[in-house]
Amino acid sequence: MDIPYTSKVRPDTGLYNGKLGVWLFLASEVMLFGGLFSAYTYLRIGAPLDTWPHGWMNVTLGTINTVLLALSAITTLLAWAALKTKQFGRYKLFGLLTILLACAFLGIKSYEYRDKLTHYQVQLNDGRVADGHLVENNKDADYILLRGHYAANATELLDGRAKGHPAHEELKIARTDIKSLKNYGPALNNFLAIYFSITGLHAIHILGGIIVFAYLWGPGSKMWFTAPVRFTNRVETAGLFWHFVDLVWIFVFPLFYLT
Amino acid sequence: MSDTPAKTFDSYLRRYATIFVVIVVGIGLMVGCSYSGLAPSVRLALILGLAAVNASLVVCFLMHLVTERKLLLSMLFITALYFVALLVLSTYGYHDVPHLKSGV
Repeated sequence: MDIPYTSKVRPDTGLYNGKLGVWLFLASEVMLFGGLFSAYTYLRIGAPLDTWPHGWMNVTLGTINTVLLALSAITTLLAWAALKTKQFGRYKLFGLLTILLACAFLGIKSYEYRDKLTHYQVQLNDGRVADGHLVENNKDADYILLRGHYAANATELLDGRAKGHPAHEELKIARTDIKSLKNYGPALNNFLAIYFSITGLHAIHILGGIIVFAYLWGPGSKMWFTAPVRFTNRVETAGLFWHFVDLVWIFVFPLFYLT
Repeated sequence: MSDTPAKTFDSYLRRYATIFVVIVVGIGLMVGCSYSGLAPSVRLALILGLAAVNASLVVCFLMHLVTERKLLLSMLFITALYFVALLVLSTYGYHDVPHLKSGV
């Protein structure tokens, strides 16, 4: 069975079906992410004064990731432009660059996740908080080792950019002194819960994009030799999805890293 | 992406490279603003304004919405309305609950 209007424009819509389909899909994606951004807004304005964390994310890594994603949006367009101008070799080059940039984005994001999940807040029985990365947590030992610093309380840790944090050193904490031990995962507070929800969903989209681009770059690219217009349209629709993923990140970056 | 087929690869390259540079400048300004000594509310407004400019560039020129069919634009208008309603309703809902508004 032939699928209609994969290459030619459908007269009533003025678009080929794939493009209309991907735009409808993107509209539903706006609603999905819109719900999460709405939750972010509600949590943030609902947080009591001076309790919303600030400066907890690595701005350098976030900026690099933002530039990488913007660059990948350009390379995906250049891959499509190469097909429009019938240069399959250039398509292969820019398609590969897009995949590599997307993988680099995910690599940096994984590093950031790992950094957060190995970062702990240790509430001590005397009211102080030890904050830092877990170095050793052997269940047989009667102590844990943390590379970080002490704070008078958890509120002191809310502003990650505040000056005056003591230098990090290795802290040996007896288990009997520990009231609770929590990492900087989604369960720590609302900020991290919504951070992991939105960036996790976004990362799944990046992964999906990588799979689609890898298919169009590898086995799927054979279509260029039998149906070049249809193949070009496929690359275009994949590109539209990719730009949407970039668009979401354009708002994720300032909301979590800069404000 | 309703471009005319007569364009050369180099013309695409020039156009997209220019947009990329503008977006990177926007990112740089956002980061600069976040470290500036401006009042938090002004800083937030500036950063989100710059993010909106970058987002417009992506939607208008990288997704080629400026040259797309009216059908798509009307569909996206409804989506945009939904998105704005989601944000406005959550803010409105917050202000509708006295104990939340007072921060108790």
